[in-house]
Amino acid sequence: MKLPVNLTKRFSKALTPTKETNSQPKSVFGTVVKHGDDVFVILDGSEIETPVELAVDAEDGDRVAVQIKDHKATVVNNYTAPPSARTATNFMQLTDEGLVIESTRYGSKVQLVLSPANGVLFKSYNVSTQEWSTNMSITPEGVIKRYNDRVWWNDLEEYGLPSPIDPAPGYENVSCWATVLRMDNILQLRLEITRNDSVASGGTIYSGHVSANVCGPEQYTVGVGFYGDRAIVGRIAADGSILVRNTSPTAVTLSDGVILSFTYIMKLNER
Amino acid sequence: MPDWTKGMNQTFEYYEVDPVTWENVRLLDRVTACSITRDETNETLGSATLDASEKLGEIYFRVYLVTIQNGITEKFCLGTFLIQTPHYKYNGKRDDMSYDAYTPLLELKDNPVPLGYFIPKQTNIMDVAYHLTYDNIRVPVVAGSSSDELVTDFVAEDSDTWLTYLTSLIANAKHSFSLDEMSRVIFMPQTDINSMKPVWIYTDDNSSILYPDISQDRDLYGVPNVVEVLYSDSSAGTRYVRVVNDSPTSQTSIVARGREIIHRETSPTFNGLPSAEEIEEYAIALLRSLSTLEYKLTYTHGYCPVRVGDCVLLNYESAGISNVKAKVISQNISCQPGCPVEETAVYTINMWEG
Repeated sequence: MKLPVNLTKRFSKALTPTKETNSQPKSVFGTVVKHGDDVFVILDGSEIETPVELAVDAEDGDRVAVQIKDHKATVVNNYTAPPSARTATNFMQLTDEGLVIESTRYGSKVQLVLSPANGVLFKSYNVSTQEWSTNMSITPEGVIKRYNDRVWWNDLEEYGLPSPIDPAPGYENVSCWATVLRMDNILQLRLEITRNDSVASGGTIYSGHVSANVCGPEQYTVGVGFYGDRAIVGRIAADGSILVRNTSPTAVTLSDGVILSFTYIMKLNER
Repeated sequence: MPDWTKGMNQTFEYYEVDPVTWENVRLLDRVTACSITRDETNETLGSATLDASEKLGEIYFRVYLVTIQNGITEKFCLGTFLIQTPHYKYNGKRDDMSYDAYTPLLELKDNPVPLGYFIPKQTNIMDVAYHLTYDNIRVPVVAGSSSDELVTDFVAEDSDTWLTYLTSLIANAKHSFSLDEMSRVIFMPQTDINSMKPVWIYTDDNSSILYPDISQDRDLYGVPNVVEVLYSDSSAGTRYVRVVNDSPTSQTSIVARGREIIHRETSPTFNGLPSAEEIEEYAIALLRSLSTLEYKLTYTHGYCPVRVGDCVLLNYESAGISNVKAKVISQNISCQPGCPVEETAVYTINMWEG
C-alpha cells in the first residue's frame, strides 16, 4: 500500500537533522587595498576588490582576517599589524580639552593636546609650581610658536610672543632679531641687534641670551640695548633691578649705580 | 478552461524540453507514473518523481494534464523539471527506471558565487537580480520591477550559491523566487494574505472537488509577547527598546499566557542612523507581526488551477471552517486519474494590534 505523501513528508522531516542556524561565520584571509578613504580587501583566491568595514586598523597591503556576515564584510583581525591599542592608550586620554598624549619621564611631564577647536598645543609641566605651560601651538589661524625661529623683533607678535615696544628715539637704524631657544617652563630667547652705523657692510651683530620663567607669577621685561659701544641683553627684574645676562662682543662689568636703558624691550609673562 | 467541478476525461502527457528554447522537443511515451511536489518552503520550490520504462539522461521534462470535457480537449502544464537522480531496477523480466527531478532553480544552486563578489550600494535590486539570474540559468527568466535600491554593499558569503545569494538579495526588495506554470523563473512580490483575492473557493457542497479528509494545526510555540530591539554600530553606540504585549484582550499577552516570551532582534536594518522613535516604531511593528497565530490546513482536492502562493477561500462547513482565507504553501500532485492534489494552506490570526 502506498503511503500518503503527507505522512512520508512528516517521516522524512522527523529523520532529517536540523540545520545548525547559529553557526558562527568563518573568517577568510585577504589583503587590504586602499583607494583614498575607501577600503577594500582582495580575498585569497579572488581577484575582486571587495568593500569592507574595519573593526581593526589596517593599511594598504596588510594581511587581514575578514568575516562576512549578513552580506557585509568586516576586517576582524590584522596579522601584519596586530592591534596594540592598549599600549597606545596608556599615553592617550580623550578629555574635554581634546586628545591628550602625555609622556612622563624622569619626573617631568610633557603633553601634546590635539583639539579640533584650539589646534595643537605642546605643553610642559613645572614640577615646582605644579603648573602647565603652553610652549608651542599650531592654532586654526595658523599662528605657530617654534624653536629656533629667528624673526624680526617687530614680527614676534605673529609668533604668539608678547608685543615688542618700539625702539627708543635715536636708534631707528638699529635692527633687532630674536630667536626662541627654549620653550618649556623657561622661555629663553637669543636677542641680537645690528647697528648699521658702526660697520659699513652689514653692521655688527651683538647677541646674548635672556631667560624668563613664564610659568611663575612674575613678569619680566627683557630687552636689548647698548652700553657704550657694547650690546647688552638682559632683563629687568620684578624689583626694578636690571640683570645683565650677557653682552657682546666681550663681557662687561657694570658698576653700581649705572643706569641702563634698553633700546628694545619686551614684556614676558603678561597675563 | 473546463469546469473543474464537473466530470471530464483526464490523461497526462510528458515531453522532453529544450533548455534553451524552452519548447517541447519529444513526446515521452513510456512514462508509467509521476508525482509533483510544489513547496515554497523548499529552496528550489519543488521536485518531481518520474517512473518510466526508458532510460533518460539529464534532461528537462514537462508534464501536461490533458482534459476532454464536452468534446473539447485542453492541455494544462503542471511544471518542468530537470532529471538528476536516476534509479534503475531489474526484476528478471523487465527493468524499471525511476527518476528524481527538480525545478529549474536547481541550476542556480549548481555554482557558488565568486569569492569576494559584491553588488555596490545604490544599485536597483530587481534589475541586478534579473540580470544575475538570467546569466546563471538557462531557462527563461521574467524580469521583476521595483524601485528599491541597496543601502549597503551586498557581499557574497563564502558558502553562498547563486540561489541563496539572489534569494537574500531580492528579499531586500520584498520579493521571492517563484515559478509559473511552465516553470519559467519569476519574481513574486511578498503580499499580505489579507490584501489578496481568493483565486478559488473550496466548499463541501454537492459540486465540491474537496476530498472529505482535512486536518488543522496551530502552533503557539514561539509567539512572543515581548520584543527587545538592540541597535548598535561602531559610531552611534547602542540603543535598546523593549515593547511588551500586556493587553488583557490578547490571547498571547503576558497576562493571558502567564509568562514572558521574549523575541530579541540584535541586527535591525535601517536606512541611515535611526532615531529612538524609529527604533521604537520598528519594535512595535515587529511585535505586531510576530503576534500572529498561524493555522495550517491540509486537505486534498481534485485538480484545479491553483498554484503555490495563491490565496484560496475555504468553506468546509461540516468541519467547522467557514470563510477562511488561506495562502497555499505546498501541493503534492499525483499524475493519476482524478489528479488528486494534496494541498497545505496557512492562515493567520493577529493576536495584538499594538
